[in-house]
Amino acid sequence: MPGAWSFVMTQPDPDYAALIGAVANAADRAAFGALFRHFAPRVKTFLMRAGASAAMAEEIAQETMLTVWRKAAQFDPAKASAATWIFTVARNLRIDMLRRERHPDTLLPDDLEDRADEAPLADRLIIVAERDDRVRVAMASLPPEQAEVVRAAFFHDKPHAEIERLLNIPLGTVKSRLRLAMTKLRAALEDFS
Amino acid sequence: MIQHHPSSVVLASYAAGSLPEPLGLVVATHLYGCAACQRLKTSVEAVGGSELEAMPPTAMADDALAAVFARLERPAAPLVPFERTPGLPPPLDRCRFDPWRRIGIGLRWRPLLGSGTMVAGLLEGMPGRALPTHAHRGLELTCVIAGSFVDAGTRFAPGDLAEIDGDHAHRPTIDGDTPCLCVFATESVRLSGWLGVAQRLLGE
Repeated sequence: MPGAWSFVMTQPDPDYAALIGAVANAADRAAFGALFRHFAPRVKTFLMRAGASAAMAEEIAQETMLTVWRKAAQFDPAKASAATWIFTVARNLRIDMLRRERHPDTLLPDDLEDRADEAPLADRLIIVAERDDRVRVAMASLPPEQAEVVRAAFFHDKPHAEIERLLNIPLGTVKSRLRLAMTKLRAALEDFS
Repeated sequence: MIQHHPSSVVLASYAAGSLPEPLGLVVATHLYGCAACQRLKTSVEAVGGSELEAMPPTAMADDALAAVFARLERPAAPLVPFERTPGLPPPLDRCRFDPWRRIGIGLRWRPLLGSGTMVAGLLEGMPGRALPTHAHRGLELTCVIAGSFVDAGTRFAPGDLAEIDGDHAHRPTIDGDTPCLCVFATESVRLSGWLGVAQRLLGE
């Protein structure tokens, strides 16, 4: 990874996108094992912070990795980094799981995302590594109170009210902070379109 | 040209996976035609990716990797083919709806199946018709699929998303000379007038 961070890294990260490619092209179990060891425990933490029990987080994390194996060929490194793709897989599985739990009779389709992504998109051409770097830099440069509301959006089901309650700030402030943060994220990516 | 977009809060919640699904369906309908919001959604997902990367690991079950390898041996459950609802853009075309129900002259709606405690579905009105005056607490999202409507002086055309949050009474009116088809979802709604009486009789 280029930039200011490289000097603190004693060991370079494996190229996770290439590992997903090896799973897709060669059903490479060693590559999958490496992906599993890195991502499954992090997906589990992520889900527990979003309110899942340890058992449910374990189940969704396993399901996420199973989906990574099965859908590896759909992973497009020109569209998302490995971590971002795996985040979206876990996010969609969590939504499915919550839906089945709350409304067992539901008839909503899985993967609203996949369908939405069929839109003709300029951003397929974006160089993902650079975009992710910019998002990271933009997040790192946000004032802490703005970064906090963006992060809170990932870990709460009732975004508005919950963020308001959790951070103990008025709803109007939550919204204006999030709006400012999103404006900066948008600006960071402006010339990408 | 799409003029009206979901707010930052709604789009961020959607991309983060924390927006309730029927509301998410309305956002997804808007995203299908809105490259600008797609880009912003993608950047929130990238934040999700870097958050995931930054998580401290929690130990998985001892046999987790072996269990996943064992499941790989078994074939994936076959995908259940879904029935497409004709005339609707993705992702709405793969949702299931109840039959159309008339709600007054020149106005009908199709409830979305599986929307849980929310009120969600398709709404179609003939030119000149107004929706019943309604008020609600919480979030209401509407995305125009065809035609257009005007609410409090603002016009919403195909692809536009109308977002209303908090206590608010309004009465959108179909303008133009073609029917207006929308998808909407709302956390809670209270209709006034005769439809409100029907709503109370039906126990909502």
